[in-house]
Amino acid sequence: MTSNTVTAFEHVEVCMGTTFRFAGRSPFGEAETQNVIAQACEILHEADRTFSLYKPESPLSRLARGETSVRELPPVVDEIWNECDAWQKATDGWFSAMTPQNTFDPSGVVKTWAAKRAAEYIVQAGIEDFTMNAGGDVWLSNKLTSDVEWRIAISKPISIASPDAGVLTVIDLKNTDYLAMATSGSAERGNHIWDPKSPDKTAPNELVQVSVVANDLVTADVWATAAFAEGIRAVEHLNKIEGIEALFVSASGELAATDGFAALFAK
Amino acid sequence: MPNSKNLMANPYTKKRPWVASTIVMVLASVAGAFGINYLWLNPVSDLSGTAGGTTGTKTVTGDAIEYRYGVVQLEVTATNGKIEKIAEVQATASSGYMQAFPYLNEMALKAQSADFGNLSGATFSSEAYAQALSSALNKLG
Repeated sequence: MTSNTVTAFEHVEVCMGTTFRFAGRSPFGEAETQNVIAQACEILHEADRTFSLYKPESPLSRLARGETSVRELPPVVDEIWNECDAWQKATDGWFSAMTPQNTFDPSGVVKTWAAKRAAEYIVQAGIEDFTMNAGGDVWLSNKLTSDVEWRIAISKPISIASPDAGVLTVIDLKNTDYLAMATSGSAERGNHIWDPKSPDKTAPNELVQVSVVANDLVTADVWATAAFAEGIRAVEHLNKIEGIEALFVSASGELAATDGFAALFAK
Repeated sequence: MPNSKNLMANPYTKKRPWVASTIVMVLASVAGAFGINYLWLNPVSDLSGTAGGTTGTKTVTGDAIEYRYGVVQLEVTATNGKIEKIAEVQATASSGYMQAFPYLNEMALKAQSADFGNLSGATFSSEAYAQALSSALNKLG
């Protein structure tokens, strides 16, 4: 291998009921690049094995059934618990890992939390020029060389499987402080976000989609989820939060945004 | 809860979204109006003779209800007492948040045609990906 090696790669991994796509350019040969990506994907699967509530024998399923406690489980469960707790406080209670049935369901952060760790692994292994798409949430490495990859399309608030699927708009994160965008909405999985504050935890139907940019993927993801639960008042709320910008689509199809979002539209 | 960490008691005050309460008010108003009109206009003898599907169809308009950002008024069509259609006669948001962002639609539309290398959307399932995203992303760059 010479120092000039550039191997273009694209890998799609199915995990957590969705897909993770890693694509970019590696300074290693084909085999070593694939090996690094495979190791990163193992981080995703390990998180899935630990936190999936769809797998009856996962530590989290056992926790939900009351068969074990956080103290007896791998330290990573405690880590996620604390992270969810911190996010609940940071979002003024609009993000919560407690289900309407009052069980602990951190799926809201596990996907992007694991994806972030997978991306970090790849960077540390020496591949620094790539993007990751974690089931619709996008992360960009800060050494991304391709201009087109700095531009992220936001899906219309309808399922990508629908014939009417398409692009709502495109933003350009090059030369900004942002490396991540997450979108929450009801287009793909129905109204699956609960409102931690309403008596029956049903989220209001004022918004159909919220997209948030942040420097960090988990931050973008959590705020998108929290804003969706909060409804239209989140426009005002998120405007006061440092380090994020957001675009909202209301049920009637109108757009709203935080003050700095307009500067991000692709030219 | 058997988890070793104590779950916090819900520290939040009960908040009822204004939209929900507005809709309940409007529906109550319409239902009231409909009920009165229905009884008033349909003596029992008329009902017993109803044969065709449209014979008992009535349309009533509810009161215009003012809410935080505007006015909502609904029209309800019912046949033999069964609601078939609810339509908005007027629904305004006179000072709603959305009114403050008319320029956004234009800017978003203008940016829509830019090339892009990634797609953000609500978490899609691997099935939906198989159907749609793979081909879409493979066309990129």
